[in-house]
Amino acid sequence: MRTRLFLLPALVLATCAPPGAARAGDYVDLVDFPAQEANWDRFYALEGRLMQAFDAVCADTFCEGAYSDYRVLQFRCSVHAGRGHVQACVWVLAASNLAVDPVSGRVDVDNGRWTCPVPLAPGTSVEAFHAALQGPEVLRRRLPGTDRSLYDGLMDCL
Amino acid sequence: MTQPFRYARPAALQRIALIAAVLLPVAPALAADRYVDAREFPDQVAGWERFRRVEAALVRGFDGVCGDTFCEGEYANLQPQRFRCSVQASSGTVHECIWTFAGSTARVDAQTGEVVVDARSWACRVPLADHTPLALLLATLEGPQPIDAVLPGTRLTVYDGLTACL
Repeated sequence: MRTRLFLLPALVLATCAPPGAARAGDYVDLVDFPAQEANWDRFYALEGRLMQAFDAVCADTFCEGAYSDYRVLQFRCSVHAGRGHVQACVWVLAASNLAVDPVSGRVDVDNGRWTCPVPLAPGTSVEAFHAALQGPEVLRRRLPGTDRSLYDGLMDCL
Repeated sequence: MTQPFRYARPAALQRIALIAAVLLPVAPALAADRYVDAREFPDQVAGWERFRRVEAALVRGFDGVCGDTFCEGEYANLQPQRFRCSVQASSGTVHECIWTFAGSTARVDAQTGEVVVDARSWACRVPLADHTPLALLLATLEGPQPIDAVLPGTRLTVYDGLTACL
């Protein structure tokens, strides 16, 4: 009982923590906006189209450089839940080069990974974001409130 | 008439010396090219397509089992990247085979809105017996389930190698 009484002040302090500190937070995954998994289908459809679009252009663009096998691992976005604005989106990519050392026979490994931000304008709404990325040539479409595209963001990164 | 000849001789010698200076450092390198990429053994014409077919079959095999095995862990989006083998040119035996993979997880920081990424890469060695002939390895991996085929001279499979790695 004595031990439990010592814990009481800590419990009171935790209860009186400033607003926001103990809250779950303002930001959610775009998949979970406006509610848990509510945007699941629309988001994963978008991610799938982005991966296909990247694969389609890679050979003549990004994959002509140091790495010829860039793969999109993920595309993820965060949303300010209260405002419904997309806060950030990133591509996660990886590539690999393997080369045989002619003297030792060792297969030398050069693996790369990239996290590439999307050049979003502050305050881009979830609906405007999704609407802008509909239709063909999704990588080249201008992002709302900017003169930049997903492709431009990747060019800055890879 | 002799003058040009006199002047030409040193020039010719200089040229020979220059060519020798350029070629001599290359000669030991050529002699030392003891290992080659399996895609280029015995030559690119014969090796390339066969190896690429085997690589594609391994990728299909991995994709077929990933969801219930390796991709059930922390990284659900594991992707095969490159599969390459080195071969001793004189004997045609495999020195090593490496298969690379990448995977990632991402989460949203609820306080800052940052998308926090954890991306990883793996280079997995195939558990080959020493001095496995490339032709025998390829024939083994050309069967119906290459990822589960017992590798020559071992009791292990490509899958076993991945289990130890991923």
